[in-house]
Amino acid sequence: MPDWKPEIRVRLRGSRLTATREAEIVEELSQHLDDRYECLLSDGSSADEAHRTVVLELTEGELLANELSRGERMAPTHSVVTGLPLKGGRRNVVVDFWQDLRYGLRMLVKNPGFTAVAVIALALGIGANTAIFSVVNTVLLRPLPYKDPERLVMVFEDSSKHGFPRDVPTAANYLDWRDQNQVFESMAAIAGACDGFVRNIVKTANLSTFEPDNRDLRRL
Amino acid sequence: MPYKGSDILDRELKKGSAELLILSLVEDRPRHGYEIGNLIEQRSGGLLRFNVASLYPLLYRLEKRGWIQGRWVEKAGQRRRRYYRLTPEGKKILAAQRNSWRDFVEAMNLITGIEIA
Repeated sequence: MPDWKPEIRVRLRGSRLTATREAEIVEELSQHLDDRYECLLSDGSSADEAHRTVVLELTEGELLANELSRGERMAPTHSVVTGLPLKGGRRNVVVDFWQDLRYGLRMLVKNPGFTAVAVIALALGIGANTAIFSVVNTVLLRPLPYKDPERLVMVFEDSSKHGFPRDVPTAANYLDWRDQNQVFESMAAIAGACDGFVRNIVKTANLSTFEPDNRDLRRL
Repeated sequence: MPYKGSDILDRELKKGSAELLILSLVEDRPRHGYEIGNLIEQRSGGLLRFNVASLYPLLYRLEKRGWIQGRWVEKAGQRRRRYYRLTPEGKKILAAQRNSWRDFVEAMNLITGIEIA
């Protein structure tokens, strides 16, 4: 009996099968060709004729590798959309996710240019977002480092007639406000730069009310 | 000059009916590839013939779709063979394809006037 396996392996070149799958197919096709060869011999063909016929059938239209390759890739009867449930309601979230992940990675490896641009864009985006969030968090979101910060208010002097609706009061006015205050629990004046802010509060108010819980000078 | 469209039509008809033929043949009991190929040829009186290069890709495709299932079976004194059986899903597909094929043939008869004895 001729050994058909080398002939079959040649025909399977380019079908991109796994080694195990290819071995299975080679074994199965080899058996088929054995049967066919015996059948031709029993029908009266000579060994040469039978061999020729069998090889011819195997090579017909170079169909095998193309068809096998297509069959292995295109088995689903409907188009598969990644992330969507299978037709008929069958669904395995973990399997689908793993499949999508592997597909995504394969595509990234296949397109290194696109991958590089995507990674750079993501890195820049994440970096910019982090920087902006740091500022917003420090300036807007995180409360001031005082006890009950929501109860803090800032009071200005109204000098609209001079063009300053939010004017800074003189020291004498501040002292009057403080002495005659019936609205606020306590009052303090602020002036100057960051470090001056703290110093002036400390100078003009009692410490228990206006001492920051955590003196973070970057935020004052 | 021979009419070449006839060859194309034959090929397309064969392609279109191949799935139904295979599913029908493994409906009653599991069969191996060579047996399926032989039965198609015998039962069609030699009109239809699938050789190794066209039969197995089709079998693997049907298996991949889950319509048939192949299993290696070892019998005493024989080489192991891969037998294909119809799956429950394949059974539903077979029923649907039979209906479609019946409707198609009836429609063709109505149009072409061909009567099957």
